[in-house]
Amino acid sequence: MYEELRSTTVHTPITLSEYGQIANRFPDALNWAGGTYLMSRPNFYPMDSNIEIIDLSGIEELQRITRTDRYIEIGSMVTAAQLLDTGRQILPPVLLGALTSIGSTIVRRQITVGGSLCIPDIRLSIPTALAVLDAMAEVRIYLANGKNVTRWIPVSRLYDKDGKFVPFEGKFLLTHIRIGLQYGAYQRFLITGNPMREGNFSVIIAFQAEKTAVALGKVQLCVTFPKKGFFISKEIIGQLSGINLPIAPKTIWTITGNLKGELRKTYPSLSSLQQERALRRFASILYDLNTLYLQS
Amino acid sequence: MNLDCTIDGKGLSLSVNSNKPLLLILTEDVGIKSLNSNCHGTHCGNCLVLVNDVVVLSCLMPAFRLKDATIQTFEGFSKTRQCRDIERAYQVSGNKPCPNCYASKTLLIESILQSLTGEHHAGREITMPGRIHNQIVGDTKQLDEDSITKELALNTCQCMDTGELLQIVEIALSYRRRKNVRRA
Amino acid sequence: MAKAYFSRATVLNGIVIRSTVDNGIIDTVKLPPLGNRFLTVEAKDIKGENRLKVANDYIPLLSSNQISYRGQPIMALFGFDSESVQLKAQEIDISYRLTETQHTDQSAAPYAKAFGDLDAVSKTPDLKSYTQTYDFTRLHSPSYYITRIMAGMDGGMLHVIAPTQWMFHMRDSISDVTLIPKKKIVIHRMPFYAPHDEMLLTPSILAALAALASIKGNYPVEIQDSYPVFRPAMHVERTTWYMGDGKPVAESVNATVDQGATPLFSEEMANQMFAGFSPPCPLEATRISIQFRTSDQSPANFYGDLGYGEALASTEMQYNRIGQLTAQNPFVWKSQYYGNSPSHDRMLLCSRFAEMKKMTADLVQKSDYARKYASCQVLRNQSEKFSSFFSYARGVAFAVGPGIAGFSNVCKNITPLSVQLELDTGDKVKVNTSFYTIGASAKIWKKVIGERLGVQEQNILFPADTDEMMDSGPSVLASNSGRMPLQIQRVCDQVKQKRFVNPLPLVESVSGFPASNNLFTSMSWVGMVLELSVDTITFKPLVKNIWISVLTGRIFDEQAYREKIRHTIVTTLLENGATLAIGRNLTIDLTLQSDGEGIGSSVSSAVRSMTLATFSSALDQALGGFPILLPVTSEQILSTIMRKRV
Repeated sequence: MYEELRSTTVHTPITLSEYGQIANRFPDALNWAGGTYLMSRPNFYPMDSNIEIIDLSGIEELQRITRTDRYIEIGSMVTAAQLLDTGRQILPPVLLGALTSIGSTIVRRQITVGGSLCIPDIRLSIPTALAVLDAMAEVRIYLANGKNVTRWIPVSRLYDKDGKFVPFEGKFLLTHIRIGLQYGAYQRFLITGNPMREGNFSVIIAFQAEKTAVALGKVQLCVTFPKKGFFISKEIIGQLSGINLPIAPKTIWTITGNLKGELRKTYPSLSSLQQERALRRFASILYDLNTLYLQS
Repeated sequence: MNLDCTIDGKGLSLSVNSNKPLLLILTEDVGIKSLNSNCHGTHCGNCLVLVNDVVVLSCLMPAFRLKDATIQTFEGFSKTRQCRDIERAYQVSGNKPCPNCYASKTLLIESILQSLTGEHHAGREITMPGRIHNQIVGDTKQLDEDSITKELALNTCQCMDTGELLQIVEIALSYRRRKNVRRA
Repeated sequence: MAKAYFSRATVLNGIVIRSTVDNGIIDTVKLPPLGNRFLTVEAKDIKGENRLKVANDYIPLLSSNQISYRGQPIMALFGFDSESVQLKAQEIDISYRLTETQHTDQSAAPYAKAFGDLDAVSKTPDLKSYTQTYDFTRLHSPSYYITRIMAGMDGGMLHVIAPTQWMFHMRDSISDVTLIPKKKIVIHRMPFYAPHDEMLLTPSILAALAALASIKGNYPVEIQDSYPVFRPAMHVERTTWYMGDGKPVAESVNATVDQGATPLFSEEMANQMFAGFSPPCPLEATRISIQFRTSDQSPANFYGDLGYGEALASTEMQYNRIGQLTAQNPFVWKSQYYGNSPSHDRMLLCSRFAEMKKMTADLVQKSDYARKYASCQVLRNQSEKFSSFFSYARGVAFAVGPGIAGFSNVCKNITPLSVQLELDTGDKVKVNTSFYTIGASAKIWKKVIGERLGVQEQNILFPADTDEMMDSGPSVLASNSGRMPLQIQRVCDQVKQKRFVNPLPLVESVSGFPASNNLFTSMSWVGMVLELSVDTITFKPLVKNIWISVLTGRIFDEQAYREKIRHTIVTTLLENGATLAIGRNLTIDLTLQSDGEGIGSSVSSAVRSMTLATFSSALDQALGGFPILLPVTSEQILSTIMRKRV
């Protein structure tokens, strides 16, 4: 460290209330979870500003995974590796798919679930999977007047349609994520391209549905274009809900065509490659559903 | 901040900025030569080191998380018996990584071997406060080819295909398991 | 070793400040207050030449005025710690006056070679013609590898610790820039790995800047930089005239090469490309024309080779198409028509055509190429192969070409390329060369010397960094494993003639090569078959199987040779947009045929070329016609599929 540089101050709270005190004193301090996003920003180091960092790794209550009969609650500082190791038997397949899609254990050890939800401008695998599971995120907001409020927000509402994180009215901390244990028997998580290395060309799709005797129910679908969009279409979901199995190829074609129209309308700047990949992946999910149905 | 840590067996006390990435600490403050790239956190996979015996991307590890850590770079790792398992595997398979990624690919393979043999978690219970308990037991964890391939894809150097690397992992694993049985 | 001269704790750390615009004039450079803790090196600090001589051309060192490309060095900044230097660099404010983007032809007349009367021959009745363009876009090496160079004065000598492929060029450049006599400059060579010739010119530029800083600040310095190197963009248009039965009659090749802002080695590059473009079959007329252009992009020249790989790949792709058009299997077509021809021999004299044909026949049989080709041709004509339900399209391709190494036989501009050998009492041998003397290549040289002169390999020594060295030229184009062993053979033969006749020590040297009528001579062949499929959900070409046969002279270290070939194939495919089948689903079957005599030409360039050719041709078959643009992207594949649908 040299004279002209002021080393960044790092605060290390060990409880949430201690965090709250620090947050009120330093509302502009950076929350540091795994650090993988912050350290990949251009000009992250060296940084010539008097920033403060709040290292969340000491807060034990953010590192727990608890389970009840109805839900699993995951602390925001649980890493993807810990979640995968611990929850392999109980987590829904679509979330397991999202966790394994991260690829390397080395990276999974450094990524936290909360951190991956709070990235301001890129949407990746974990938020996509949690969105179709109707997961809820507990957010503590520290207001300017020194008070704080706690809200439970659906993960799907944390982002706008362009995938940008919707800001809160004050400094906030995402503390827990809750996933219900009632989910559909049919789940798919598909990723095309590498979202980290080719964010402008990759597509992430998560899908969940219940299979009743002959029809689909409780359909959830989320399509993510990492740097461009976070897409949940009530229309497409509506078209799929209650649809009879097997789905006729003509119907698959029609619904895919509708999805294409929606994507074009919502994301006019989407490249044809990303769009085509999304449509073909979506169609392959529906064909897959037919195969499973016919096999059962 | 004053960072007290052990690097390649030497106890050091370094004066560094608290958010300085470990990669830069090793290359600029300590002079480690085996780290020759800096992708600024975009996952090129060429900056691997061992921190407390666990392989990490050093460009994503800030100084303030390294208090009292034991850090081993490739320069230190290359003198260990574990490294010899991997080097023998290179020889037997007739393929080895290019000089640019040799260090990181070797540590990446070491990370995979650790997972496959459970060397770091053998018998240790990881207890989550609350209701979930998990025990990772050594020598039983199996990784399939698909998972190993995804692990190997972390290093983006294009000198080797996954088939060669899988073969090397297999051979190194057989040496490692034999050694573990002998030591047990 | 000079590292003892400099301690890390007492060097100044430096970075290069580069332009952020493509084209313009520097208006103002506003420096922040630097005090005595920072040091700048600008154009005005250069006492000697503000440029580096490269063969017959020059490359600018620091610009104070004209900016020709984004990333052009403007100045260097040094300080006591790298963090401060990087932060201070952010405060430097450089403003530009932008000018219009320019593309110009470097020379009025292109480089051209002709044989026969193409205009007359092409008008022969009943001739068919086929024209195709091939585009190789600019590629760059990974930009995250760091080059570090240290420099400092000690005892009146300037010591430079650096990796370099061209030691004498680095020394001469430092001398020209700083006016320090060459004898006062010692280059301590660091090991490096440069598959794309990353260490050819960049280290000389950085070393010159480091030397300037060290002299100005009276302090040892270390400069670090991570600027990539580039492959030039090439556009090739080829027209082949052929008879109805497929017999080729004439060929015209027009190529445009964009070398960026500063063209270098153009003449030699043209020679290398002539050798690649020239078809290895008897033709009545050929005409090859290569035009070099400049543009506002970083200089691009050496990138593993000097254009031979891409040129040869276009030849193979063209004749794959001709074979296809004449309803023949390309292998059958090439077996029939490839052979010695006057037009080809002038550019690239090849031998062993008979053995090559046997090798390729075996290759084709082993890979079952003929059957696969036929079935892929059937698939090519199906309309549903692009649906997401039937999610694949397949292709297989064959290519064969000769290997070359080193500069052309007419190349005079690149330093003397010398090596010297001294035989002393006790059978002690000293080899004097500026090439790196550690690694696999040096082991080959020792073997050659040991066999030729009957001396023990442990008695063969190389010069230390501080010794007076012979200028062996740049270590490019596989010179250390191709040209150098041949030169060492020659110098050993010279010593042998005088051994036991003249008193010891015997000192002999060779420079360059004897004059020849051919641009190149080849003694190696590479044949390849590649199979791929296109995933029509992800639009990525997936390479599954590769069979490769290499026919060459003596192989010194078979394991290293196989490894190098495999690396070359994998790297070339991944660089050019392929994905490889995962794990054991990818097979690379390599057969080596070595006759054990004579040193064969290097095959690295030919392997690259065959990989490019087979990859592209197989993709073309899979997609039912694909504009040849490398590297391939998923967007191109998608747009090809969409065009087919319409």
